[in-house]
Amino acid sequence: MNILQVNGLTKQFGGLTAVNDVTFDVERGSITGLIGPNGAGKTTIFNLVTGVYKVTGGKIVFDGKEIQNEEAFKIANMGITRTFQNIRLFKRLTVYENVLTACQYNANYSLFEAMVFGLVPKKIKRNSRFYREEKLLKEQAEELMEILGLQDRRNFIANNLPYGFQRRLEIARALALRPKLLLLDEPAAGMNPEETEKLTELIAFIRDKFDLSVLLIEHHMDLVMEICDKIVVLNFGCKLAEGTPKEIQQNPEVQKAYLGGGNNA
Amino acid sequence: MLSWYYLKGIIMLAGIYLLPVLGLSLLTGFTGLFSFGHAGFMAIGGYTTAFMMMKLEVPFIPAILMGGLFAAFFSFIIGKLTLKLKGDYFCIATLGFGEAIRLLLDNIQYFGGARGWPGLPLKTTLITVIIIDIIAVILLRNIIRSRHGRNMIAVREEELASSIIGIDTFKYKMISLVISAFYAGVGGGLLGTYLGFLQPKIFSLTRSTELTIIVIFGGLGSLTGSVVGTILLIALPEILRSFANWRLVVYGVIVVFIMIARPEGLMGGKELSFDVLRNLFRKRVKEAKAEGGK
Repeated sequence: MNILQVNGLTKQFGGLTAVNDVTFDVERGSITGLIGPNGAGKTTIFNLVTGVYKVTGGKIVFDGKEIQNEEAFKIANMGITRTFQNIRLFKRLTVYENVLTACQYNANYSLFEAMVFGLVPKKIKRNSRFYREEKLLKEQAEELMEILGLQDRRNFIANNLPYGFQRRLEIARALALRPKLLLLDEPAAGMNPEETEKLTELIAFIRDKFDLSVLLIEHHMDLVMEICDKIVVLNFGCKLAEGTPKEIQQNPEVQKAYLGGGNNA
Repeated sequence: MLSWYYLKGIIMLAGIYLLPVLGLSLLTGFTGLFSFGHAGFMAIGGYTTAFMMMKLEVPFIPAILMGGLFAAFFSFIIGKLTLKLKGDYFCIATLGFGEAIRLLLDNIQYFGGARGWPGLPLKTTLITVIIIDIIAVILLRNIIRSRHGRNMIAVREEELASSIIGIDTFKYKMISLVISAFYAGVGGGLLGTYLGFLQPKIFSLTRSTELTIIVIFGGLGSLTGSVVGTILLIALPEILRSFANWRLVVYGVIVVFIMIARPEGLMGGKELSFDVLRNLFRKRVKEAKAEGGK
């Protein structure tokens, strides 16, 4: 059963075809890698799947529903969320506020309720939906920070966090939505081997813990080969190959276009 | 020297201007949208209130609320048309809107045209202003501390990331705009019934800019900043009366100097609440004890 099916996906910017007739699936519960040289259209595919860009042609089916050209926030609420290649946190907010904001999805109280119950004695407030849900959101935020090891830095301003923790925070924020599919755009970029190793464990861990599927773009081949169940290779906007890590490593075309060194080794 | 009547006048004026400033604080400080047309919403509120009271004989408070609602309704239409625009374009659209409203009122003879509309009932009292201000601050604080407020702040911080975590950015910009216009409308209504007179000239572009200046001066993203900023910047020209003709020059210089000294505004996104004061006090006590221990 596939959580995501991308069918003949095409995106043109004016005369430039960034993504050309790409077809692949993401199996439920799997970790799928999306690799390829710079400019191959990997991030563009992420932007199309999450609704940041409008699709030129083709279909994207998520969980049985066609989602191409839906608005980004609606796609997010259906259960797809992502991180960004160039980290996009709420920079001036604290770690806690970042996570808490992202938890909003799990509350339903209205603006009116917030206005009425925000500043009344606890006795009255306690029975309101506002109070119950706010409490729940705060618990969820705490839990997420705990899982991702951000507790000690909860009051840090996001912008001042060390790089690795900014990546972690972005993942925490994405997980607050309880997504079914998580897209990670170069999560290990700029990390040293040790940090990359930790991240590899983390990705596998959250996949199991939150019962989700992962689609990830990455250039660290160690990470990709270690955790991916399947890899899709792109080159110049077209799909070059698809298969298990082993098949991809041995594919001569992939070696020529991307992995390199096949003949010389 | 300082008569109570004079002082009361300044307090009331500051209290009335606090409303549009608070509205703008939500829109600019917390949602990140700049508007140079809020005097337009004040004008709509002011003229609606006057119309309700003079022509339809609606009582004071309902008339003021109607003024706010009508301003909010206008902002909803403006929002529908312009909130999809990115960044600066929205700002320019509001600028055009504010001026359009003023010119329209200049030419509607039914409301007195450019000469103005005299003889409005003087219903605004100090107590009314203070009560409305307190309610306005509490409601805004409640919004900001809820998930809705956090969503607005998220839109301000990083719009793309907000939509990726499921926030309808358009909706939250709209809510913010409508609430801020409502506040401005109520402020306009109070102003008319305080002055007893309305003139389109009162609601010029300068007024809109002044409101934005107060919000930035107080600190973007701080309600207490907006309150302190309003009191200072409305009272300052009065305090500076002894400078006579140089008054506004000194005013400008002071504003420039404060912005250089504290570019993030007086409060710089921080709030001054009872909790903060209490913690500060405790810290002092602790330090004093530690000193004593030595």
